[in-house]
Amino acid sequence: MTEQPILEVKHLQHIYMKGTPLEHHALAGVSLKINKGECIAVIGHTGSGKSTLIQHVNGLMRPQAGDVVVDGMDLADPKIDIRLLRRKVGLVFQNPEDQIFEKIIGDDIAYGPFKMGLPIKEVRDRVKWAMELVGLSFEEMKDRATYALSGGQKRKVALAGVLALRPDILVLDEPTAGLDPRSRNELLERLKTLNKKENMTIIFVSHNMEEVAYMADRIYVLADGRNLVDGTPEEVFVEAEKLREHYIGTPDTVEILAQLKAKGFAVRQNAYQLEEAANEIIALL
Amino acid sequence: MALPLIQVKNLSFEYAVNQTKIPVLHDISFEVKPGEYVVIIGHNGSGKSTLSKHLNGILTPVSGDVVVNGWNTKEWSSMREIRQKVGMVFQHPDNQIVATIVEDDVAFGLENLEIPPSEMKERIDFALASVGMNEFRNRPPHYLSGGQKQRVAIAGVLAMKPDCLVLDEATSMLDTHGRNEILKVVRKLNDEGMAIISVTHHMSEAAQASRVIVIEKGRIIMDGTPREIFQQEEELKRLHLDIPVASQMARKVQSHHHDFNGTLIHNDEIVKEVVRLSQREVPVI
Ligand SMILES: Nc1ncnc2c1ncn2[C@@H]1O[C@H](COP(=O)(O)OP(=O)(O)OP(=O)(O)O)[C@@H](O)[C@H]1O
Ligand SMILES: Nc1ncnc2c1ncn2[C@@H]1O[C@H](COP(=O)(O)OP(=O)(O)O)[C@@H](O)[C@H]1O
Ligand SMILES: [Mg+2]
Ligand SMILES: [Mg+2]
Repeated sequence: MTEQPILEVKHLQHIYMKGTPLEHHALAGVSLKINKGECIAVIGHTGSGKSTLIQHVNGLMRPQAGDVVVDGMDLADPKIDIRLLRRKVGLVFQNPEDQIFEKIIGDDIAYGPFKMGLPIKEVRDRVKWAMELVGLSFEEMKDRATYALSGGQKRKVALAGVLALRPDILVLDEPTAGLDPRSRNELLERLKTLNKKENMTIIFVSHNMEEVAYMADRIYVLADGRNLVDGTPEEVFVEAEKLREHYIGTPDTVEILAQLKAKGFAVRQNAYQLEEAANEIIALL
Repeated sequence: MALPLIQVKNLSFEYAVNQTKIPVLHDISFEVKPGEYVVIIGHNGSGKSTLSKHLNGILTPVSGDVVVNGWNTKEWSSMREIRQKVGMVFQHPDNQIVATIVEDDVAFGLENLEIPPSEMKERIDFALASVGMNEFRNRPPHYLSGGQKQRVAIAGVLAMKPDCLVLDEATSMLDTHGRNEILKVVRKLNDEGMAIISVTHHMSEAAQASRVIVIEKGRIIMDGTPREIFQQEEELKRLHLDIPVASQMARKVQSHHHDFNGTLIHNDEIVKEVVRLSQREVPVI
């Protein structure tokens, strides 16, 4: 297959506060190759560079060294059309408060589609669609003040604001942190539908390995600003040892299977789905 | 019987946004004893953060009372004592970080306590070591990753050596490893006698507590040991909550194998149960 990847990152480096005593090498040569329609998880220990990496994808950060190419646009080129890029790539930050600017929820979510010059009816439809997608009732919540929200509600508003743009590439930094289990499951299901049915490319950072196992076609694991391993969930979770060495957890299912193996039981280590893992145990008894 | 450390008596609370009142907590009563480990769970917007902020007087009841170690939080004169007894880590670390260097940030709360410099240093060392942030002590906190900031925020409260630590989703931005590290610290503090009140959306984290309180729409609707609470899968799902992965596994295995204990809630219990049931047979290597 000679398909052009929708995102290619090559040997990307980033140094924070370059040339000061606090200089910090956050990315030391990271590479990714992502095709249209893939759902990709980026995992790694706190501080491994995940957020720094994904902020490059919509041009918020420009490559200091190495390449970032999004759908043919080379982000090292200072002359690229950044508005076009932002329309292609929707980024939801790790901290939702960095992303909410308007006083009223409905206005906040409408802001992006409105700036795209969409007709007002379409804007409204999109706001409604995006709010329901993240589990915020349109009627109940659209007129509420954004400052007067719980942590989880703020995360939902920030997510809806980006979803309303219907980007080709959706980039999410820990999208479900702070969501209750139902909201999390529903959001994941709907994101998966967007990915599979509408071919939206999704790149997400997550610490929740159950969620990674459920969502991701492929996983990139970062450690100290470098690629550690990548592959399908099965290929990655079977490296439990290596992941642990770099302080990265595995799903509870894999954790249980690893403990059983250590006790001498013959169980498959890559049975990360609940059903499969339970079957491994049932087979033992 | 130990006297309660915190007494919440018929607490009701509403936020006032513009002219409208948003009722959030309704007639909540409970007590926390010294050394207890309580987890509060509930869906987004159910009132967990609002309740947490009442426990050390950041918010005060519209009706009812909160009494900490005998001091009513409505009496401003005892605020300093109350804040020292009950330390709070917020849902969002940025709201808690004040200084420009990590070390100073951790010291900040101590400055009002008239602690001799030598002890101050000792406490800062202890707090930073507890959360594994020693090597970051001279860095500006605003340039840390989300999870690192969260640890600094926790260290700031630990340095105050409170009798009770209130954590509002304090691990939500940590990776599995980071979360486990913090949970280890929390358990150790609890073993040494510190009461813990922790809000979380992670059911496996709730399983660690000695008591789980479930809130819905500003009311306490369940209160019991984690094992009692997590037997009520249907009810929890109705409340947008869930049961830990270990419980899901236990139930699944039990449905095939009636001898298997379906009430297990921890990963290592599953392993022990498999060992117990397979002792009849020789494990296959
Ligand atoms: N400052 C505020 N002013 C007005 N209303 C608020 C304010 N903060 C929260 N609320 C509202 O009060 C209710 C309870 O919020 P709270 O933050 O206590 O929820 P929570 O259980 O902590 O939710 P989450 O799991 O999302 O953190 C929500 O409906 C929220 O919108
Ligand atoms: N604005 C910044 N200035 C300086 N250093 C930073 C900044 N943001 C992050 N860092 C540092 O860069 C490293 C990678 O951070 P980040 O990409 O946020 O990690 P992750 O998202 O994987 O937790 C961390 O060591 C962090 O302390
Ligand atoms: Mg991050
Ligand atoms: Mg909250």
